[in-house]
Amino acid sequence: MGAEQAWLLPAVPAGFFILLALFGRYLPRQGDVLGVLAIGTSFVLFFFVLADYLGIGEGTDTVLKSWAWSDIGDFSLRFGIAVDPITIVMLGVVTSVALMVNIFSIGYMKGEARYYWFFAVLQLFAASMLLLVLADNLLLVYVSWELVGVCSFLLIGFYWEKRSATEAAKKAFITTRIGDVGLLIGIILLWREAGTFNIQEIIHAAENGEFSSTYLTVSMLFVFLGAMGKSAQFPFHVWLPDAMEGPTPVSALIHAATMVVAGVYLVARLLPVYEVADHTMIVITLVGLITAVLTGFMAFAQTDIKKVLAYSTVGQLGFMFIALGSGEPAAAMFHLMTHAFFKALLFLGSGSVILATHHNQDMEKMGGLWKKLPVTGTTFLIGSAALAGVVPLAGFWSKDEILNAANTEWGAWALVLTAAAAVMTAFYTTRLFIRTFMGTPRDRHVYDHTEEPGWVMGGPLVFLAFLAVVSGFLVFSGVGSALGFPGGVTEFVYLHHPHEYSINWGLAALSLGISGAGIAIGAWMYWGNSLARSTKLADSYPAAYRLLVNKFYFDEAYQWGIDRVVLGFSYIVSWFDRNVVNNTGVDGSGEATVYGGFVLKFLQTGRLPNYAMGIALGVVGLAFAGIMVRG
Amino acid sequence: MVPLENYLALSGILFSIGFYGVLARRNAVLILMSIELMLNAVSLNFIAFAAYLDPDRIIGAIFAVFVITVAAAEVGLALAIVIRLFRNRATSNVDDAAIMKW
Amino acid sequence: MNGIDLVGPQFAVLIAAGLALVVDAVLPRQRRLIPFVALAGLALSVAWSISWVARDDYQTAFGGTLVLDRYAVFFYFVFAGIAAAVVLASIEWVERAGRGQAEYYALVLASTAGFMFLASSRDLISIFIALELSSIPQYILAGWGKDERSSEAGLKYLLLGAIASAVLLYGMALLYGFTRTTELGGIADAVAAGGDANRSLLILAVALVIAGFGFKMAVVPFQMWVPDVYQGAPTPVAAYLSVGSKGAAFAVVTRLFFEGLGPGVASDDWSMIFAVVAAVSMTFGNVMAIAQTDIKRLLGYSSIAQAGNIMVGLAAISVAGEEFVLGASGVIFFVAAYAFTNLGAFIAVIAISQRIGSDRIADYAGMWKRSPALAGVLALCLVSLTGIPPTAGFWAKLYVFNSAIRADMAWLVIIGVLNSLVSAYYYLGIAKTMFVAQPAEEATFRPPLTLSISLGVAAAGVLALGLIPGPVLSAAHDAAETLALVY
Repeated sequence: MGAEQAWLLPAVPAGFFILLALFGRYLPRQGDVLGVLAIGTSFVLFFFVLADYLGIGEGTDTVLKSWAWSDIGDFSLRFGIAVDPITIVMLGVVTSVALMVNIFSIGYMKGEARYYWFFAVLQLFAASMLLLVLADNLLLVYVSWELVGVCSFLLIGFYWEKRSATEAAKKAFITTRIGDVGLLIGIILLWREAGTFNIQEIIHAAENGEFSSTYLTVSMLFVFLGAMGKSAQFPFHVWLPDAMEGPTPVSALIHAATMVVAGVYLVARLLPVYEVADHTMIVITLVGLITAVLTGFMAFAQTDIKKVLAYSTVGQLGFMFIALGSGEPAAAMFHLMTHAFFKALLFLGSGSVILATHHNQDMEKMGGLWKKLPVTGTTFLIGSAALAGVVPLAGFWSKDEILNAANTEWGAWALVLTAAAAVMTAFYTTRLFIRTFMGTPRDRHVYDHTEEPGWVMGGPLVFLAFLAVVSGFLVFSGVGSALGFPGGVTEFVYLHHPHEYSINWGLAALSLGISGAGIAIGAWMYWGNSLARSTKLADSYPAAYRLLVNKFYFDEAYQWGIDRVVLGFSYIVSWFDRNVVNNTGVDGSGEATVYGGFVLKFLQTGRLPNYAMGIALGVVGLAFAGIMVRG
Repeated sequence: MVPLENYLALSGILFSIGFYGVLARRNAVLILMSIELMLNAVSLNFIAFAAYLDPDRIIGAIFAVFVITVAAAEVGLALAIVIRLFRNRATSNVDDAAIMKW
Repeated sequence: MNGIDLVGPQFAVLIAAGLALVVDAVLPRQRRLIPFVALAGLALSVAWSISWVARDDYQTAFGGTLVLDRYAVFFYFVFAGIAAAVVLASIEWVERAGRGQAEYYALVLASTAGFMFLASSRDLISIFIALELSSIPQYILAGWGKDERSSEAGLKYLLLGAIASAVLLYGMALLYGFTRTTELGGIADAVAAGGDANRSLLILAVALVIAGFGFKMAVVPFQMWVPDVYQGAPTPVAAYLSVGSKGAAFAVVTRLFFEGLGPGVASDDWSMIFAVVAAVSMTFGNVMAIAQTDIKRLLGYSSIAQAGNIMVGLAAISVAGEEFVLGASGVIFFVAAYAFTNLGAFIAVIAISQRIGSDRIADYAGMWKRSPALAGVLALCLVSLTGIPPTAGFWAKLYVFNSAIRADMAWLVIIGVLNSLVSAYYYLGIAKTMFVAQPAEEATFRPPLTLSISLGVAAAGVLALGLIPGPVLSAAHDAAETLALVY
């Protein structure tokens, strides 16, 4: 078992998906143990891959293995796997978080309808996500990209009895699909010039200047559109908070730790191409910056515990894009890893709270829960501190790297904006923790019925909390050497610039100051169960407050745009209906009137002579066009 | 000898009249007759080409025979369907046979 | 015997058609056997085709009017498969309709034989006769139902089909006049030798031919009959029309434009026109489909859009150069993939509507809860129609789009991809209705065994072509190359 057999990682969960989907409901415990077994196997296999990979040469080569997929004439397609440091990081993150989420779900999803189906789709998701990170060509990336999207759709809509869940699933799917089409166009454009889907070959082609510069920029921006959609970057950020309608373990796995970082992963993978393509790096940086700052504001006014975390996720993804735009894939991947651990921890922690309080997600009804939920509370504190960037937890180190990168590449303005976003992160994280766990209970009824869930849920929390504490230390050369990759994670994950970690004391101090300031403001405002200060603030700036509560009106603006287009059509049609057609055969249902037929529909009169006229006009048109073309 | 162009023109006119009939008539039987006219124009074309251009003078004629045969089969079938429509709805007007639209 | 051997696959199907009628007359109490007679005939046909693949000795028959090559044999398999699925899917419906069981199957088989002859014809006369052999049974089948809708569908299909035939024949007559032959090889020589004299006559002839086949392919502006006929015809027949007649039309047009009006001969003039027709068909079909509330009608419009997709491959064929085999193999593969996918969708619709007695999309609410297998297969087929991996439809689209890119028609591919986005809206809208809306009633049900079998085969085909497209793609490629060998 070595790195060349890494394809087993996705293959095992894929096999179990089929097993669970077909027979899950007849198995004892509906097969939940098998789910854990499947992803656990992948987790164990990951270590074999890691050990084998570290044993090979310098630990920086790419292990490639590919098979012919279809080999027709001059159009040959291969599918294969590529294992390099970026892949290794992703494999580790995906398998470990997925394992924890699977275990956690045994407790969380207990007694839910379609229990087996939940575990089956989790396996399918794990398989697709692992395939996505292993793929050596863009076509396979696209295939798995769509597959994880489908899994996300299925899992967001898991509670399909709830209308909001189905709406959210649809919104997520359609929003990301806009990006997906961009990705597909980008891939096709790249392929057209390079004549291959293989990522390595495309990188070589780009570096050897085989693309014209505008062409490359346009193609790479299309690809970035796909990444923006999947990673919920501005202006596609609207779907992720709504996606919180799915079961909480799903939010932890898909919408915090793995699927949403696929965009980051893809850009990191193709970063050498982005570096060659003009103007793309600044676009990536700006999108990341805008997203990070904007969602920081949006998280201020949320009272739903999961929504706060969702906005925070979007913001942290923005941080990763800042790092990528600054040409530091290592910093981005490092933050991706630490973020996956502490954000999965926070989501699972919030799931634990939600279950303990009998499906209450509103922070206004919580407070003082630490006493009732010691394990959840303590681990949640660790996760929050990591997110806020408290030294020496994981988030501190990776955020410090990103500040450093932004400063080095773009200078002070980028540093200031990034730092501002980081202050906001620390602030809303503090607010989240204080309002949930500290002070006195605000809703006695909820408080009295709260009890700590068992260790099947506590265990994953503790494990992730451990990772949230220690994973940051991977940045140090000493830790890296001890584990087999000298130079630490930033030197391990490199593309062009091996980047040795050396602490920049000024920035470290700034970083510390940032988290300290954020936490201090948060504590000052919310300590001791008092909302007096924040209410006063909200009252003195009512317009700003409304803006925040309504998330800058993005949803409304989009809805308005869609309404104009769709309703515009239906106004025309209804006018046409009244004045021209009179006896419409359209059903009276609401759906039928909204989509009630674009004007074109009325060409289809149902009358035979009109159809014959179509044929006649077609013949004349074809003959005319033929003669015109012939010139 | 009559030049080939005259046959072609006649055929073209017949075809156009037939097509006009298809577009203008509402009675299914009249539409069928118009289609027959179009097919006859085609046969005329084939035979004229065979007589003037084809060294064997035979392929076009064979084609014309096939066209006539198939046309007969189609008309027989069409009349059956028109009768069915008439029984169902007491009309042979194709405008009335438009419950499915849009 | 040699002649019969050369048309063996068709012969087996026609024998089965006759046998079905005989069984009906001789054993009136054993009517249940009839569909199995039909299936046996199709099995024999497939076996005969396999024997030709094994012999690998391809030749022409009947004075060059028919040809038995890889291209034809590929389509023999496709059409036999389609007919088998349709027969299986019809059993329940025909028994319920009660009359003329033997005739129903005989007609299906006769038109299948017509499709097969179409795929192997190399002469305008045999093309015409094969076309009518396949069409006339379809007209009858479309009007098979007892209700008004079905007879209206039959009437519309027949009259418009006859007009299209007349237009096609007029084009063939002009082509004959221009080239003095009806044999495709001879046409190619004459067109190449003819130079630019009378070029406009040739263009008129080709325009008329395209119009005639455009009706069967269901591309804009010859598509108007499609939604009405699909909606009115019995659902198994609509399934048959949607894949069989479209597939056969593409089979014959591809051969015609390859061998008769091939690259460098006449078809270069048509590349742009095919491309425009493809773009318009895709857009029209998809936009119209959004507004539909009846699933059969929606599938009708969707089939127009799919015809546009296939036509992208045809536009790429017309461009001379090395890439033209790519376009042809794209068309061939697309037809096969589309056959599995659309049949799967239609058979699921048959099974569902037999149970709920409605074709309204709104009545599909919560179907996942009521029959997970049916909803799952239907969703899979819709995903494949959208062109999302890992399904057959993804590869089909990828291949035709690939050929268009090689032919320097990136704009057409962009339109195609954007159209896929539009189509996702309504295809996945149906999936959404089935998976997330509340069912009107809770009672679960299972489709009858025969439908389950054909559904299972279709779903397996969609997935198999999606996961391991290699073998079928190479077969399609070989088939396209036999066409190219003419040069």
